[in-house]
Amino acid sequence: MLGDSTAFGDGPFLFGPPQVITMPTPHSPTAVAVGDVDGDGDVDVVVPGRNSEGFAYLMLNDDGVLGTPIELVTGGQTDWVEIVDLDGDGHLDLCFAVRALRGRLSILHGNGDGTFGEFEEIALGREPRAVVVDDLDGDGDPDIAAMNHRLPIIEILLNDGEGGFDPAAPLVISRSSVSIPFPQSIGTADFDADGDRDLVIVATGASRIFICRNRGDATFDPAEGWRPSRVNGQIGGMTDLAVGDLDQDGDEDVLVPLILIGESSHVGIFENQGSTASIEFDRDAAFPSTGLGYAYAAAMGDLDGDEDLDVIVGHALPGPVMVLDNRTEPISAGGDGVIRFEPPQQIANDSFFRGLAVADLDGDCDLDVLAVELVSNSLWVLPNLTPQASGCGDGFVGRVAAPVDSRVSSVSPGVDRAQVADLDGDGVVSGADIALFLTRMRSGETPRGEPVRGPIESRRR
Amino acid sequence: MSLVPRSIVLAMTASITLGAAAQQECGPSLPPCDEPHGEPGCLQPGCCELVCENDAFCCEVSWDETCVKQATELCGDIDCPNLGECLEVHDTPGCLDESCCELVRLHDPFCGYGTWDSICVAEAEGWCGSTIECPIEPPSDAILEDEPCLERINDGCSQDALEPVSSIIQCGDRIHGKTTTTVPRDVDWFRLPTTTDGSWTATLSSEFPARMLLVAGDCEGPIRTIGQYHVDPCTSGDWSFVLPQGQWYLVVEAGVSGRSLRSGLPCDEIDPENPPDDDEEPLPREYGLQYLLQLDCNPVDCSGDVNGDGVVDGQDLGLLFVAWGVCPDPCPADLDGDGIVDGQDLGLLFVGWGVCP
Repeated sequence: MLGDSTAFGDGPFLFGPPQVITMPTPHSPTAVAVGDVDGDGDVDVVVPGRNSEGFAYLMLNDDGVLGTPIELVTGGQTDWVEIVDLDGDGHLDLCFAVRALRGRLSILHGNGDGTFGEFEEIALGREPRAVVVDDLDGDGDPDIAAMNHRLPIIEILLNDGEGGFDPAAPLVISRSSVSIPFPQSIGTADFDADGDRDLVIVATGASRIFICRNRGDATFDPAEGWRPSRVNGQIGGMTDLAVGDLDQDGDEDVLVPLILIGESSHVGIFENQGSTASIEFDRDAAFPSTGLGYAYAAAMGDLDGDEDLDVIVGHALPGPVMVLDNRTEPISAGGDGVIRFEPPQQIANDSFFRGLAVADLDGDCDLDVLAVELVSNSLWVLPNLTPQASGCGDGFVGRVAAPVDSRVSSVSPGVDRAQVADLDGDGVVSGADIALFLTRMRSGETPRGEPVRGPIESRRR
Repeated sequence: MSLVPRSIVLAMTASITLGAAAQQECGPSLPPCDEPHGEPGCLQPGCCELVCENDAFCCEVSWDETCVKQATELCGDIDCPNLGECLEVHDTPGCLDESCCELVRLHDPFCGYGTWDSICVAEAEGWCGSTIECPIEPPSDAILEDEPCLERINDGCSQDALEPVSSIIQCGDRIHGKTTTTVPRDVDWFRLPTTTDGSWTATLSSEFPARMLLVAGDCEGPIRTIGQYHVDPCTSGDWSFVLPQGQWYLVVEAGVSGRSLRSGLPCDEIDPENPPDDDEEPLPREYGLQYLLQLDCNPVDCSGDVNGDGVVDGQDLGLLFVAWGVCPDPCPADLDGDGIVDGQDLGLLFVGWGVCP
């Protein structure tokens, strides 16, 4: 029990024992997304992955209990999924990024009852790794921005209102000193507070985030590239991003995991300065996430009900899940607005937590953490028991998900540095190369159909 | 699959086909070497001949699983030629025209192992059937970029540079440069001078697939690229543009529309710290590495701004001192244009000291 001196929201996070759902076939899960696909009022879970059969898995939520994973045929390895009503029929659809050399989106239209039609494909470029769905042209329906890992090009697809998509002018992001910036993750937010949705892209090979300001009609200003905070002079490798107002000043900040060599992993923050004429970030803030493994995945959510965004970080090789309690005192509440966190707290540990999500899975009015574990082929549900400062909820409502593996953390492997080469071709092996190495990892295998090859001239050396 | 030993089948077949051509031609009429098929021989001539030297069965009877296995072992990457027209998008790697296929995949390896996508087609359209050799003869007044392949004197924000590392280009300059795709890739950043108006033309002649970029900003961010222009090998192009306010850089690199190249243009110099072995084959390269870049613009009337950065300061003073004495054209430090850098020029520099108008 908490003592009298401890206010709700100030104490450590409390999480129940992890419920580990192992995928029925080798799946190498890559991400996790939530949405009420069967219309019963609770959130269901979809897990894309890099299995050779081209399946993703759907777990329907039945009053807080996740059901047996159901196969969804997507037609290829999938690295990302968005759950959104694309065709305006009131039912949630699934939009997968198919990680293939013949890049494409795979769209499964929902029937509203947890079933889906056969997948439809939209051709894209070279190996899409992520996609974001948002209203980019301001016409009220969801459009698509998809990134290709092997091209510096973001493809824009505009919705005709009925789920048909027309390509608009693509966006080129680049940093000319390295030939391919290897974009890995993408998100949207209104960074300049002009009422439209801008894009943010993590380019792992360039160790930059790129911001593309929307002109309001799904055309964009030239991408602006920003390096993350340096940690002891080192530029970290980045693989993921999360967007939210960390300092509660009314604008959207960007959080990135930072892969460092010889340093603890960190999370870096691009603190939006609220400019409307341009994008201005303060990049001074970086916080250690753990000395174990490499920070790979990031998410935000108010885990303790104190109305600020806490940070969740998944790590690789080995792979703890760490949470950082946001202790920023916002200017609006008389504080200094400086972003602060409590030291990181471990809530799970395995080998490679590659994707994260937060959602109230069990309906107890707090946010639980979902994490996919690449190596052990599983989804971890971490039930939130933290007393909520908001008074919402009554803590964890004990339920048993099925199927459940009682799990002891395996011995976590480390990165064989010998496998990590100068993958981005900039002449040095850095955190960016480890980040690229991790993005290509699939349970220790080379991804099917994707020869890991350098330039021809270096192969023949 | 027949249970008869291959040698016996081969002997039987030879007797049956006595008098006929002993060996099937390798080439485009046949299926790829990495697929078993009933006919003898396979699509890729080099690989086909290599396998058949080792196992005549493959070119006299049929290209069976054993031939495929040998092809995989002996040929390594079986990329070119392959099924599909080089000027048409298709879902398989490579294309039928062997020389075109090799040329494209050398510079864009994806086309050899991924799919022959629209980018491969555009590259084939731009490169195949065109001139490969076109050594640039630089004019006598061209300024040598003078960056050895293995050094990094003007590579912008590469690696962890805090500020762009660049060379200087002035209005009217012609730069004779070289760039490569040897890791780390060589890109050449030129800091553009301050001008009275924003109207510019950059003319690029190149021996290799090249592109120019206009980049502004700080290495830490924001850094942005507002335009690009690509030039096919052995051609030249004029790029006219108008720049917004700020410090801009013109970047020259190996590339095509929308993307950089990072393969096929290895450095032609020997790395003294890592010299090649005597028996080491040189890396394949089809195109030359040189380019000629000319910048046409109207310089700002800012006497004393020798390096064109918009400020008359100690850097300009240093440039003036190193040019002291007789200085043939072009000579930015010869401020009064009399062919000699002397006290008069020093006086002009001092009276202009500070930020240019």
